[in-house]
Amino acid sequence: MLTHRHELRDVVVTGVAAVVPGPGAPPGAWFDADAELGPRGHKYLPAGARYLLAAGRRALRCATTPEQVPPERRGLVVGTNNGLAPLFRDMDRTVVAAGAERLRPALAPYFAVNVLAGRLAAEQCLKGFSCTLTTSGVAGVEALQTAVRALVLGRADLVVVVAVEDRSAEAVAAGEPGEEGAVALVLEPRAAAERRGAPVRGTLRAACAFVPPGADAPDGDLGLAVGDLLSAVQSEPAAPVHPVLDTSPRGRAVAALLGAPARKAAAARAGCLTPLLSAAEPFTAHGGQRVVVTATAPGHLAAVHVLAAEPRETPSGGLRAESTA
Amino acid sequence: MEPVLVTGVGAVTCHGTGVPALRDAMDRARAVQPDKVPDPWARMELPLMYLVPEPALGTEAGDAPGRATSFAVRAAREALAGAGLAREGLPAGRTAVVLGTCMGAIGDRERDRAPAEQNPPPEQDPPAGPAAPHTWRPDFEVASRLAAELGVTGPVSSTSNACAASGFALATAADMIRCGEADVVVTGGADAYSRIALANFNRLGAVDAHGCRPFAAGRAGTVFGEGAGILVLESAVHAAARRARPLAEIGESGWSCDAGHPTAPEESGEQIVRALREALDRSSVAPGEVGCVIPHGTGTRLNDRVESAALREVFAREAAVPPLYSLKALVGHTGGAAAGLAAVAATLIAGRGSVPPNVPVGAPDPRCDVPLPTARTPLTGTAVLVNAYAFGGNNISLVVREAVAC
Repeated sequence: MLTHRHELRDVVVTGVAAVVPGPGAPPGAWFDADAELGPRGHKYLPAGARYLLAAGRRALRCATTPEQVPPERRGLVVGTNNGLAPLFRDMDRTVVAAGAERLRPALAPYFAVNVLAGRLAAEQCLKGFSCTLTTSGVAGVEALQTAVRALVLGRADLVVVVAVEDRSAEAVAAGEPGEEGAVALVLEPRAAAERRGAPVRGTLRAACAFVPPGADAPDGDLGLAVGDLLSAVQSEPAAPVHPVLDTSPRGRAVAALLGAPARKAAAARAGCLTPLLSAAEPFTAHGGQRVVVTATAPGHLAAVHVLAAEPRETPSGGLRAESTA
Repeated sequence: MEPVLVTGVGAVTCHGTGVPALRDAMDRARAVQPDKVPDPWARMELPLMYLVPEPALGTEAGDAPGRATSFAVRAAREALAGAGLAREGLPAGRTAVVLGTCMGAIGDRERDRAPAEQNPPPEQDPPAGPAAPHTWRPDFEVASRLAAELGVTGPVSSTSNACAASGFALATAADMIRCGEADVVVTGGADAYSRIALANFNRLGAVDAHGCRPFAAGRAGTVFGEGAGILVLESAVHAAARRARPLAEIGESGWSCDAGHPTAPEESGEQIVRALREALDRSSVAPGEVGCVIPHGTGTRLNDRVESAALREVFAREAAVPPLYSLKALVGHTGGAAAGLAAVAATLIAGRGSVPPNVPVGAPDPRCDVPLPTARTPLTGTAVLVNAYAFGGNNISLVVREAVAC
């Protein structure tokens, strides 16, 4: 049901980078902005925009000389749910307590969540397009899909995909584990990447679906949707499934449908970062293939198949550049 | 590629619920005064907005789906009814929802917070033990809740490119049909009052105390409006199989990014021009075939001037820029819903074969120099162009054209 009807431009991954806290790192304090971004120019960037900028820069370095692609042919797709959530809350407190005149002008544009992508687009001359997706839990996987579609339809010849999140106090207060950081991938048509001598690091296929919350019976719409998702992205031989699921009724229902692999499910968090981090892992670790499957309480489902070559270091860094502070 | 057809439209604006209310307002072409938002915590110089009258802001039940969601649901139900698609007629797994929204449910969250909670104690780690039962509602849940209301079981996506959000949503929806990912897509945009959006626009000095007056010499900013504009897009094959009557065809779109200032458009308009030309070229529409442009035109001084110059450049070889229909003068700047409502208006214009009178907004700005007729004019081409631009320099142009019957 979810397969494309026409011939795809073969899309490959040429750059990958993750900027995420190491285990046990204190919220916010793990990211050294001066070390990561340089001493100037980021004072008025919210944390989410800093993570995005850092991951995007690294992924583009990893893709080696992306400036070979003209600016009008370079695009950006960002997935986020809570990338600016702390700022939104602070802004509202300021308005209620002191009035709009106390808002900081430099941060005022950031009431629109897509502005967090602006610095990376400006700095890297990503003039092809910039698109920001906010679908609950799956915006990162959707960003991959949107990028592939844009490449297939000839809207660009290189697209940077970033999933970025910051810690939402509301989500944490409700018992949802928060997310911080960003992961970025650079996608290009294979022929174009090979022509410019870019490192071809692997391939991916992504698909998304929706089944209304509550429709969790395995022999109903949910079972069909999960089956369709897997067949849309899987290949032979079948890759191991890496579920990213929460403890909602939907998460438990999908775990039951997936069977044995779901016993080792990663915990889905209050954002769209974890599924894309799981998809990026083969590129940054030891290569190989996997299918990441995620499901969210509001009803969204997504799957992404990745096939990664064994990573090789690039002089400019990138692949193994996760922050572990 | 297979044509993508519009088979249903729905609208919610400050003029009320339903396309007939919008169409009547377009015919009357009378400016309305913006409302003062009834929010005691809207501490800002100009708390002005064109509010949707029903339900009155602040009177929603606590368990309601949320203000923007309720607009989206009303408009989507109207569009689906117009398309002749009942819930059981939506193809399982092949029906998608792609919705644009700038502020999502953030306005609902703002109202949910009691004033005492505005200064809570420092954040603490969540208590140990079992997680709470998934009661947290994401900020950008409008698409999810709309899809759940409609019983959709296909791809569902939320696009948040600020004031161009529904332009990108519409374009993505059409691309999904072209790529064979869906047969029917419920798409467009919805936005509602948000305190932080209006407060920050005040802080930027971008609110006009006298209303939304695009391209007027005396314009001094914009005025936001609430609303939703929804279209049912359908593959020509699917529409023909059920003998649906197409209202219009959605052509191709052109995308670009200024990659510059966070809020101000690039003064040369280079990327705006590129998006316009790309939309026309990809749709195989010559500039002379465009009978009307629904501009982004918000009333902010630089934006209107840059867009005017871009249009003059794109239509330089024609006798004149085609008539503009300045929708925001009628409904305000509906943010993430703006391009959705513009596409609904474009569908009406293409279907009726005439451009409605523009709302009089005062003396035109000679530096803009674009035609804004205040009398109804015949549509002289087969295509209507829709522009949408946003903070972050996110630009998109879309072609809507007369439909050929299935």
